[in-house]
Amino acid sequence: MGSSKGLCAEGCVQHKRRALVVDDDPCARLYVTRVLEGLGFRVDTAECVRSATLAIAGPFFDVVVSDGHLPDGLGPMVLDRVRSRGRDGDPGVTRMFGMTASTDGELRRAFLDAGAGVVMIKPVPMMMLRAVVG
Amino acid sequence: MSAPGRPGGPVEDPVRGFIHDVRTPLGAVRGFAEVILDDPDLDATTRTEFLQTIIRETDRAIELVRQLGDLGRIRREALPMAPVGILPAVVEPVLHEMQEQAMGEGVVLVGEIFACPVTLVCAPEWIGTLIREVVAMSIRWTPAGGRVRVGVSIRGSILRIESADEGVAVTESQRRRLLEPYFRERLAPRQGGSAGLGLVLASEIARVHGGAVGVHHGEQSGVILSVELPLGEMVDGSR
Repeated sequence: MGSSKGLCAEGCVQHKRRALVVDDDPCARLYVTRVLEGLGFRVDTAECVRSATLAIAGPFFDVVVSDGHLPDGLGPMVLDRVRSRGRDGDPGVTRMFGMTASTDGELRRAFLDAGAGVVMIKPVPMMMLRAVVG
Repeated sequence: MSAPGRPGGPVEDPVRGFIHDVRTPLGAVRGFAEVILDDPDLDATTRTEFLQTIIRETDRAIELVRQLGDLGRIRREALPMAPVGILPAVVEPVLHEMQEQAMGEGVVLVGEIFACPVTLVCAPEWIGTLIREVVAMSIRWTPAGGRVRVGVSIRGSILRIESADEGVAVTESQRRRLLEPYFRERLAPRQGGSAGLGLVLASEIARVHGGAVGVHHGEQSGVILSVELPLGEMVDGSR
């Protein structure tokens, strides 16, 4: 799945999984990016709903991880954009996750309604992030 | 939903907003410590960069704690007021200190003091905090290579301090909400996240001194934060 290709040891074509990380905090973005890269993802990042929407209009993402509160809206809006993107050529279904510092139950429900498989509460330990996304 | 900083949904309770906002730097501290522990082969440059991130994010959490504590103190305690030659005692040293902070962020801070020597009846340490919070916010919102202009003047019986940034312009709706706790709709070029309690604290300090903090659109772009403090008449007739 995904659009980035490489060669495996046997010479077969291997697709590198692709992830989008959306967070307005640069440190949080870098941390999640680093962990996902360690899982073998090629990672794109966005800092707000607008830039995430532009990214989603591009290549297919196997995984999208979005923060809850963004400068121009809420994380569930990003997930809604992913769901509405669905194109015939997509190689699969994007797995989506929420990640927020808020314990607000309403935001959690909004994430789940928008298609999040799991909503993680910050601080998110590396083991949890790996287990959930990997 | 009254989530922190949600457009149109400000948080009235600064403690609730604090609990939300402090989790982000704590998450970074924990996350980067785990990344370092997890990869013994991490190159020295990356390791140093991650350790610096841990220090910076720890400072950010400490700053949030300090702001919340200061806000509690100023709402709880009576401030010790005394007449102070405000320019040499507070404004000039604080601006000098903030120039160094700006330099560390790659921003030039230009101070323009158009006021004659005046006496302000105030709690000088708190006025120092007020100026720091306002100017720090202008620095935070200005891209590296940009300039923050701080002007100090007397208008009638008012001491006016203006701090102009070169950040992105805000809409009229955002301008009206910029003094709310944990405002996050105006993206900072370096730190991201919310604006914390800095301007709430500044507004509270100005209020107990009979003044106010204002927010104005910049002439071309950016935002101008203003502080107005009334100058009381002194016994010898000077201000």
